[in-house]
Formats: sequence, structure tokens, C-alpha cells
Amino acid sequence: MLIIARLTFKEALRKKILVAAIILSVLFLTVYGVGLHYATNTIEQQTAQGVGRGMDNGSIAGADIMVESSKKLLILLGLYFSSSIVSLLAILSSVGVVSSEIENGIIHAMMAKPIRRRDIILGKFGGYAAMLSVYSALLFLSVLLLNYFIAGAALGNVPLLIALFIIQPLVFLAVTLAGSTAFSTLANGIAAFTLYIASAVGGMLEQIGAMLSNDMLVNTGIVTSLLMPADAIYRMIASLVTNVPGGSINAMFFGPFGAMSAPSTAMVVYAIFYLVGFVGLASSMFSRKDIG
Amino acid sequence: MVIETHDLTKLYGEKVGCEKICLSVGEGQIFGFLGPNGAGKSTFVKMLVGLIKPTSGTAKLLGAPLGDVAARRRLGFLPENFRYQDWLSGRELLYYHAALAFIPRHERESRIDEVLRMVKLSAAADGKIKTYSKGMQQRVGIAAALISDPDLLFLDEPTSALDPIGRLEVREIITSLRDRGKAVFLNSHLLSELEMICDSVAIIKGGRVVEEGTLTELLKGRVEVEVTASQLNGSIERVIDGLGRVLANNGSYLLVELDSEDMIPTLATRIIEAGGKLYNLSRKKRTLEELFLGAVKGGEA
Ligand SMILES: Nc1ncnc2c1ncn2[C@@H]1O[C@H](COP(=O)(O)OP(=O)(O)OP(=O)(O)O)[C@@H](O)[C@H]1O
Ligand SMILES: [Mg+2]
Repeated sequence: MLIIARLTFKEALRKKILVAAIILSVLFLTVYGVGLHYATNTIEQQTAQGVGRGMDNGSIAGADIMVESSKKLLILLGLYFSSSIVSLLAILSSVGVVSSEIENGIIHAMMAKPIRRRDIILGKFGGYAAMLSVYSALLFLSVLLLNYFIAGAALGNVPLLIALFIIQPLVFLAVTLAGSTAFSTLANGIAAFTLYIASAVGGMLEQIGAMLSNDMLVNTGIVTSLLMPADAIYRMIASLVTNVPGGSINAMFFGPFGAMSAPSTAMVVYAIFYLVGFVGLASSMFSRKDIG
Repeated sequence: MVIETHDLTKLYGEKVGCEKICLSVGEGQIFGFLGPNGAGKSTFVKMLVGLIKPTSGTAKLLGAPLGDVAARRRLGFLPENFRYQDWLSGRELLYYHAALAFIPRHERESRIDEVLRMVKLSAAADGKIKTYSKGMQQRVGIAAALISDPDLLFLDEPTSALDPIGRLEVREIITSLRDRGKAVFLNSHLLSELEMICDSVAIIKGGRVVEEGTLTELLKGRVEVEVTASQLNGSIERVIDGLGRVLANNGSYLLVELDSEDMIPTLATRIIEAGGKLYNLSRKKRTLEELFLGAVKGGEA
């Protein structure tokens, strides 16, 4: 199994989609860094002007909250789009992980080796999971570092946040892997991408619903989170980022990027079960599959 | 027996892949499996190596039931449509195959060098597989199949892309395996090749085995003799009468089919008695091609 993981990891590293993701990420981080720079300047100028004009203490406290919130919003923006990048990377890189190898016959010689089919699936999951985890952690840290050095904003509990952040692409990986044991590469790609869109839109609708106190929208979001819990994990991160103890930031401020309707910890547990479940499904479907 | 199948059947929906195949292959045997395109040869091999599941029937490989993972350590397989991770070099690919076959770490290097030498690929071993020619890719596939020094080797058309020298080399590899007591199961269309090396063959048509046995047995078959004789008085028919029939008659050259082996001396005596001068009387061996065509023709499946 480890040897399959190694082979798969090596394979994952040479995918063109990874190069595309790296270019996209660098581009994103550049634009984000520049944006962060100007946004921070503006925020600081306004605060300085406000203080200069002789605000009373209450207004100063209000302005502080404003500054704090704006910085958090900038972090959330960075994390939201980074999540999208790693999720899409997960889908696009693993979309043909099993199907394309069956289609082109690479897997044939492998099947006669003394390894269980389950181990082939676990190895493939492991290989891609390793690549995605490293990539996600680096991207996450890049966003945090940009915020730290440009905006002077820091976050606590980074290891937990990274762990949660990594779960997102892994959840997509598990679904795509299962899909690729059952469908053709193309069909699987379409299905996984649709799931991604549904999850993203559902997540936003849920936040908007929470702001408008519209249960219908909130429920839509909950249903999509059950179908694809990645977005719920993002909300979990968002709520950890924005809800500092003793803070008084209004969650409404962050709009669709925030966690007005915050998921419970049960959602994280669900996501993990979901992930394990789909890897198990992939393994059992692959074990029963006729190859060639 | 290294392979024993009993009523092994694979249906693709309504379509027959292969049907009720009962075969056994012993240790140290080269077994040739032949049949027209779409007869079910690859289907049969894919079932045995575990790519596809039989619809019904049972089989044992190396004494273990189908799907036994441990038994696969002693198995080698070259697929029909061989494709490999072509971004790897030949050596890297073999390294992965060695690791997947549980060859101990310290033996891998030397084993890889050994199989590379066997398939004459040592010089190209460090080039990427995608730069290999088709024949070189097939060679690396054969090397991958040989990596664990298997007791049972399945080769699905192993020489389809090879040049004549490559074919000869593969034949030599196969016979040297047999000499070491290994069994080789060979799918091929190249009848003359099979005829050179196989101990036993089975011919499959439309998913069913239509002919099976050791090569010597099968090729014995009908008794055909070539006769060159002159000054035969009277008609040949009289000479042959009761022994068999004339298949060809070019004056002094005759091709005769006899009803049994015992009639060969009788034929000679009759020719002499009829005053003929006998220059040649030789038993014609059937070729595998004739056997194959005979078995496969007669109503397209
Ligand atoms: N995946 C599949 N789905 C449906 N039918 C299949 C499939 N694979 C093979 N068949 C059918 O099973 C039959 C046997 O095919 P198989 O590949 O075993 O033939 P073969 O003897 O190896 O032929 P060839 O000499 O062309 O390699 C054919 O009729 C083929 O159409
Ligand atoms: Mg075939």
C-alpha cells in the first residue's frame, strides 16, 4: 500500500493540473498581498484620522472593532479563495485516478501483483492526500504570513485551523476517488464539479439565509452540507477566525464569507465519517469491479 | 497442477466471454492457448490473474483458489494491451514492480539488472518509457512480469510488437523458464511459434475449448503420407483400395490419407506388388496451422 502511495504521490506531482494550481496560487497570493497592502493602509489612515479628529472613547472602541473586523474579513477572503483552489485541485487532479488507468490499461499489470484491491485504493488515496495536504498547508500558511507581515494580523490556534483546512480537499478527494471507480473520467469530473458548485452556493445561501432569518435558505445550506461537508468545514474555520473570545464583532459583517450560521462540531465529525465512508465505498466498488 | 479450472465461465451481459472452460496445466509446462480474434483467450487469462471475476465456475492457481493474494507472489503477467507509467524510466518501473511483488529491498537492484539483461534492455533502462519503441515497451512489460521469478507466467500475446530476433529471445526466455520447472501460459496467434515451444495447447472458439491435448498427440491426428513412385501398373485406386483415399495425384507424386498408422507398411507392400518403384514414402506431420484451421473453420461462430 505504501509503495502504491509513493507511486501515486510521484504521479500527482507531475500532473499538469498541479502546475496550473501553483501558478494560480502564486497569482492569487500576489493579488491578495497587494490588495491586503492597500486595504491595510486605508484602514490605518482612516483610524488615524478618526483619532486625530478627537473621537470620544466610545467611537474609538467602535473604530477598533471596525479595524479588527476589516482585518478578519481580509483573512477570510484569503482563506475562502484558498479553499476553492485546493478543493478544485483535489477534484481535478484525482478525477481519473482509477478510471483513466483502467481506460488506458496502466492498471492491468498492477492487478496481478500480490496486493489487495483495497490497498490499491488506500494507496491512491494516500498518495493524493499527501500531495494535497502539503499543498494546502503551504497555501494556508502563505495566506497567514501575508496577513501577518502586511496587515499585522495574527491568528491563534493555527494547527487546528490547518487541520480543518486540509480536511476540505480530502473530502473532495474521497468523493472523486469513489466516483472514478464507478464512472468514466469525464462523467466523474462533471459530477464532482457539480457537487463543488452546489456546496459553494449552498454554503453562501445558508449564510444569507441566516442574515435574513430565512429558514428555507438555511435548510438548503444544511442539506448541501450533508451532501458535501467541505463548505461546512470552511464555516467552522471562519467561525474560529472571527469569534475571538470576548470579541464583539458582528458576524453579519462578513457576509457570505463568514459564519453567521456556524456549524457545530458534529459537522466536523460528520465530515470525517463522510471522508472515510467514501474511501470505503471506493474500495468496495473497486473490489467488485471487472477491469478490462 | 499449477492451473486447474472447472467450468470457468465469463459472460458480458448476454455475450459470452468464455464458457465452461476446464483446463489443467502442470508444472514445467508451456501451454499454448489459441483461437481466433474474440474467441475468449484474453478473457480467460484476465479471470485467472484477477482482473475480472468469473460469472461461474471455479479455478485454482498454484493450489490456491482464484483471488488468493499470496499466491500472486508466484505469478507473472503480461497484459495484452500493455501500458505502463511512461513517465518513469524502465528501471524505475521495474523497481515499483519489484516492491509490489515483495522482493526484499536488498535483492531488488540485482534482480532488476537480471531481468533487464534477459529482455535485452539494459542499455535503455534509464530512459523514460515514453521514449521507448513499442517493442521496447513490450520488453519492459515482459521484464516486469518476470521480476518475481514467477512459478507461473501468463503472457498474453507477448511477441505482438517484437522483431524476429525479439521473438526468438522471448522463446528462449520461455524455454529456459520451463527448464527450471516453471509453467508458462501463452496466448498467441503465432502458430509456428507456439508449435516450436509448446508442450500442450488448447484451441478455443466462441468461448469454448474445441481441441485440447499435448502437441504431439494433436498433431498426430490423421495419417497422411507422401508417396513418390513410378511405373505403378494399373490404377492407383486399386492400390489404395481399402486403405484410405488419394488427396493429390501428380503422376509420380501422391498424397494419400490412410485410415490408420498400421496401413503405412501395407501401402508400401502393395506398391511394390503392383510393380512400382518406390522412391519416397514419408509420413506427413500435421502442422499446428492445419490443426487450428481444421478446428476453427466450419461455420463461423
Ligand atoms: N469488457 C467487455 N465487455 C463486453 N464484451 C467483452 C469485453 N471484453 C471482451 N468481450 C467479448 O468477449 C469475447 C472474448 O474477448 P477476448 O478479448 O477474450 O478475445 P481474445 O480471444 O483475446 O481475442 P484477440 O485475439 O482479439 O485478443 C469477445 O466476443 C469480446 O467481444
Ligand atoms: Mg486477446
